[in-house]
Amino acid sequence: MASVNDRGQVLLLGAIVVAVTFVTLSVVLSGTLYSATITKTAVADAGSDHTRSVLLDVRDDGATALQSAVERHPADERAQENAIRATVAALDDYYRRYYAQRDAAVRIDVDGVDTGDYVSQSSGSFAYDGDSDGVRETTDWSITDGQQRVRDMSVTVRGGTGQTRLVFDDGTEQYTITLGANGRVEVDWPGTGTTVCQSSGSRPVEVDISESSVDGTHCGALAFGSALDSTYDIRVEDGDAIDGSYRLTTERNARGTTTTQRVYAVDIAVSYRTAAVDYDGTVSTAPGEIG
Amino acid sequence: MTDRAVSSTVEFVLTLAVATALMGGLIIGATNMTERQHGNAVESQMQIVGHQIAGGIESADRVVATSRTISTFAVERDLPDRLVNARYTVEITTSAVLITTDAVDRSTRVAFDTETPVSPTSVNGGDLAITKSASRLVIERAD
Repeated sequence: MASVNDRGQVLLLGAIVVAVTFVTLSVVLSGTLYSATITKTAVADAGSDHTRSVLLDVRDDGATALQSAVERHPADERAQENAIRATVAALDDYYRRYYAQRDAAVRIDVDGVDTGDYVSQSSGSFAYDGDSDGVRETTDWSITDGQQRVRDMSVTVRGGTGQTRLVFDDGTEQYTITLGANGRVEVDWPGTGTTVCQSSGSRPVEVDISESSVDGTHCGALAFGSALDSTYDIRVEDGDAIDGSYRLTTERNARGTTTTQRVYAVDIAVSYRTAAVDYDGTVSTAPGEIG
Repeated sequence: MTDRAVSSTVEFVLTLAVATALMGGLIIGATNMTERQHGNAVESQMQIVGHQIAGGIESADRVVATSRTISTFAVERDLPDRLVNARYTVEITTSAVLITTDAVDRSTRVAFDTETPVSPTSVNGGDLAITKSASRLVIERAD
């Protein structure tokens, strides 16, 4: 037991213990408050990001369904549409089961199928037989019958004696692809000048405008689609200067050596529900669309 | 000889005074430190909440951009009612989120960039709902 003379030291020690306790408590309480708030905000969900992820998945799957249907039934637009509807119905079952395990309810269904024209040519000059007499006499002509969109467009140059230009005109600006018989491929952007994608090459030269590539090599200058307005006209100038083939699918009526009806785009209705998200809308898919 | 001029009363009073001064200093120091920490915590939380709301708005805008049409779109964001025990206000302008609270003097501004117009509004802190109404994004308190 402490003596009377030791009482001051005992009190001093006690006071220090109390002070240290106060300080410790204040620091701990403050830290606890901070931690609690951080924890609550850190678990905030990312509902919109999940929604967009679902929409992108649906769009990609819709594009695959469309391409598959077109490959299986290249000349039968009705069969293409039926195949797309069947695939989307199967996808609906898959999505329902897959997302049910993630506490989300997803339903998809075909909302609409847009039919356009598939335009192609397998050989000969890029001129157009305007009067259907079997001779391609029109050297300057328009593939698209008015302003519209196109998808899945490529051209192959096999020969010729000069240069043919493909002009994408949205009414305010023009983007021009110059195709040379010697394999030269140039792209002209308004205001920024000309970019040479390929100076020369062994023929045939394949220019995939939807994929922005020349003979499989990426050329960024061909990716002008995002700079175009929503619709545009595609003109051929000096079409008799080169020989080769082309193919594309247009949103509406088109001109060309061969045209057949083909599904252009599919609209898919999407319903997505979670505890935090309520979404009903549609996504549209047109694989290889320019613009 | 060693106890000269020292009585137990004087010793007790002196010891108590020293202990009181020491404890007072410690408490004052700890209080200041805690207040600073509290202020820093509030500002940090304002930044976090501001970025979460701005991110939510931009994310909702991307959903709108991905969709061809939208008939219904509402997404809720879990947010704290208080920031380190302080109530706060969220003000949405057409291009930024402003977080204000009485706990600190200055507000926090977080800019966002959307293609879809955002309706300006002001709401108390807490869970928020981002919806698309007509052609605009609307932010309101979640039910």
